Amino acid sequence: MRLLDIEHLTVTFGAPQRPVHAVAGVDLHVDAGETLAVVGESGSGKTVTALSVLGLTPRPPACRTTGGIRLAGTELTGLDARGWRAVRGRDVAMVFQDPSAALNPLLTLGTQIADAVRAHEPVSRAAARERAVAALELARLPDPRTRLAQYPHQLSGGMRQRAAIALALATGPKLLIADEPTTALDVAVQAEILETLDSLRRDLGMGLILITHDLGTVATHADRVAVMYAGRVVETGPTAQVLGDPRMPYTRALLAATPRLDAPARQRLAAIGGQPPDLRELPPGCAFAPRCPVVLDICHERRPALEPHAPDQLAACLNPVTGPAPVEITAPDADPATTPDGPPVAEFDDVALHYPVRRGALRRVVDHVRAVDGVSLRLHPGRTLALVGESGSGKTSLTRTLLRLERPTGGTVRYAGIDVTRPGRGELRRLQREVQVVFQNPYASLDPRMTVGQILAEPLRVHGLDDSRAELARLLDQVGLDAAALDRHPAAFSGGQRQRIAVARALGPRPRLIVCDEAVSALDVSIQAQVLNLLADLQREHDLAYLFITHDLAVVRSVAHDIAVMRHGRIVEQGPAERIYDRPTHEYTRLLLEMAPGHPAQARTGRTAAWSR
Amino acid sequence: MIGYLVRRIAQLIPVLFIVSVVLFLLLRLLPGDPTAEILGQEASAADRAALRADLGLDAPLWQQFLDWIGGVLTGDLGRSWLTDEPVASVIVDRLPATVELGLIALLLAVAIGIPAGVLAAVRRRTATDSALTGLGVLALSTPHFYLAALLIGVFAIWLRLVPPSGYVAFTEDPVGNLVRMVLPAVTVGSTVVAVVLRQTRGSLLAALGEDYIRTAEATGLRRRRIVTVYALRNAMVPVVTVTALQIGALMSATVVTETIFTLPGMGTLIVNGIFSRDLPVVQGAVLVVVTFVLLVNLVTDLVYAWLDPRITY
Ligand SMILES: Nc1ncnc2c1ncn2[C@@H]1O[C@H](COP(=O)(O)OP(=O)(O)OP(=O)(O)O)[C@@H](O)[C@H]1O
Ligand code: SF4
Ligand SMILES: [Mg+2]
Repeated sequence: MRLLDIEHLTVTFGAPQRPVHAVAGVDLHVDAGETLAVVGESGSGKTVTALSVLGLTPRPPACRTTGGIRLAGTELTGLDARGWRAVRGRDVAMVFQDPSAALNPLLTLGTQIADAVRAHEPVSRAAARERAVAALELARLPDPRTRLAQYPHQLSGGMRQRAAIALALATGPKLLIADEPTTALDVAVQAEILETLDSLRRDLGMGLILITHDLGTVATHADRVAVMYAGRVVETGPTAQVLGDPRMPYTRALLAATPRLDAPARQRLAAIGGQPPDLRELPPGCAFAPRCPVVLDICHERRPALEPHAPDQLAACLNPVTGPAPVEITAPDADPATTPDGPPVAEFDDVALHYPVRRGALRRVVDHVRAVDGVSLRLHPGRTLALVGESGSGKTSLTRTLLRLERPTGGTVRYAGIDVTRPGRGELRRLQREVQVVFQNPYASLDPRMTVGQILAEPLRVHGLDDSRAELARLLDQVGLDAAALDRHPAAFSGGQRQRIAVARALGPRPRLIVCDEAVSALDVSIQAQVLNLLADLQREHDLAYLFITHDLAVVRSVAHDIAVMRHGRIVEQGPAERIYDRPTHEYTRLLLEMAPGHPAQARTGRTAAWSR
Repeated sequence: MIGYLVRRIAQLIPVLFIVSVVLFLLLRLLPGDPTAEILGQEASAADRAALRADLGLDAPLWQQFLDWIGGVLTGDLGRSWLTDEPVASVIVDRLPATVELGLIALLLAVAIGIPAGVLAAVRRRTATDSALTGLGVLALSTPHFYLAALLIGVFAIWLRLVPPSGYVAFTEDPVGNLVRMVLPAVTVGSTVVAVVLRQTRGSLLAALGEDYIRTAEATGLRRRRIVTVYALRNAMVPVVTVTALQIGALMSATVVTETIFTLPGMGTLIVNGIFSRDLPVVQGAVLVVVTFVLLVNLVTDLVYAWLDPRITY
């Protein structure tokens, strides 16, 4: 049964003179009980498409919508505020990307879920709370009744996402949209959440739209997939078919750009060259033409329509590729795994970081949290050390000692022989310039009141370096952004674009060591590949050292020379990357490897087989 | 919680001690001889010397300080050099007018500033918003003495709705008291109302842009509930902060306002005390005010914890 039918949807932001075509003619459909995965680069219009199904795009004149959205037989476009309120929650519900920001921090889960129920049904407060308990149970949150009185901050990340799912489910929607529901979570938790969504869809007969940039997730959890590019669906069909035999070059490139465990170590990823198109000036022809490896002359003039190329498989391409031939890989170039010589650039020596736990009126120290517990690591110039582990394992705490944000309670941390807790005058400036950091959350790390130009210029000015417009434009170009971005504020960029800005800012002062704290985790694969390749290039050029913090072993496959696996504040295993990938000795390392895409264990389900090719 | 309170109050002690020392020394640095102020310029040198001895001004400074602080610790704030009344009872006489003024001003701030700020935020970029924001800017940029004169001119002299100045105690004549307090309270409150309005508007707009508001909208909640419960509560934390910060500014507004409306409050007490070099009165009054401001700070922190469950003490 057809549940959702989107026809020729367009969503346009900004003034009519300078429109941003965020969604430029999307056709999609979802059946009851079916999972549709929507993938595509950052800024390709996935979230905006989803928001328009809930009528949550900004109001005109800031944003204009055309086209048709039919949900369960009702036309949604043109509804008034009241009509939309009746649809939201009851017919379609959405789980937003970041569970820590999506729930109100000052209201209990009970209040938030009961409110949603009472918005649609005239039930008593007590009855609404019973419904909340039922919803929490459905979302498999342990101990649902006691959760009612809890606030979001009292839950772990995974539990928060379950609570957000419960909030969406409480009103019994026919269609659930999950926008990157697991990006912010640990691998182990990711699998559980996706499993929960899967079984809910089956048991409740809901339609599910899964927005994601993780093709591994698509392979294991989606019936059909729609690939978006520049505000359009460019390829769609059954998952196995689209991932196994993609026709549109962009889909192919996406597949090739995904980091995989079974790829050769430290080889360049097949990044899609160039930049995503400027949505203000879409070319008249195929939007992918400037980046397409098999572009024809006609592609620049005629816009390809979404047409069938195989049973059930539609693609928008004038020169569709066939057969399982992979797209050319841009300049593969593995560097020899040399053993490091010379002095290390950073040294952790038996470092401990214990946070005191205080209780009582006198704030006596009753215990310690051992965030980092006797860690020794060495990082050499020109090499990448990947620090792998779940959140809470102490990875970030450890790097905070290097960045002088935290004083180790034991051991020493040295940068280029300087004890970072006791730097001399000049040494401090050197530390601040030569050690840069890129954080995971681009929303939090860029000041929303500054323009991108100001953001990039700030560290340069602090260190008395060239902060001319040309220099700033060069920095942006390195990370695949246009110089036009300099005058805009971070709010005007999608998540992936913002992360590239953060990378550009870190590159500015020409550091010798960059701490990448889950720096590419929030990026979609093609940009991830670009950034990883970029980091590798810069490393070779400038002999840069990277301390790469991640929870995903596949991601660091292409960059890591050495790997240290961390758990509960300790290093459980460390060594050369090849050794860790081939012969992991610790059980926990094996678990992490099993979770990563491309691991043989993932071939269990039939759907994955197509993906593994 | 109780432990936290005890700790915070214990922390006040060293702060108050330092304030006492600084206050004491600053007042001794005032130019002029207090005995000349008290006895008049024509007083003989012998009379002034006698008074000096009488007031204990002959003793070394540290001795004078110890005498004073020792008294304070036992609840004795000393006596006025001018009238010989106990300082404590002078303060008790003057406190009600100032406290009432402050309370009404604060009430205005909450009762007018918050709803007006919410209205401005909800009707953002409309005539209502511009009008409210404009009024706020006007209130912030009008000096208190000017506003007071304007209010007296219009409401007391022209419309004759209220008496232009004077004070009766609330306990004697509640209506008469309130009628006389309206204009001073509006004068003092204007700034706080404007500050609260601006902060409420700003932080409510920020809160309305948060992800959790979109989540609430996605569940089909009414706009009204979203604004008043989901956004406003989150917006209140910064509002409480700026309001608390305004307390200090409020005290200086009180001085001007009490003088113009001839209210017998702490502001006039301190100012007159400084002019007449009645140092024990000034010391006592300022110490009371400082203690009050510090306690307001403490209460503010407790309000945070009440507003935001993530804060625990
Ligand atoms: N409120 C807005 N005002 C102006 N432009 C916007 C607004 N919201 C989104 N856009 C633009 O619309 C385009 C599509 O954004 P959207 O959030 O749908 O991307 P996405 O595919 O979800 O990307 P990501 O994977 O980074 O979340 C982007 O170029 C973005 O800059
Ligand atoms: S239409 Fe042309 S440019 Fe576009 S993807 Fe196909 S071949 Fe490439
Ligand atoms: Mg998105």
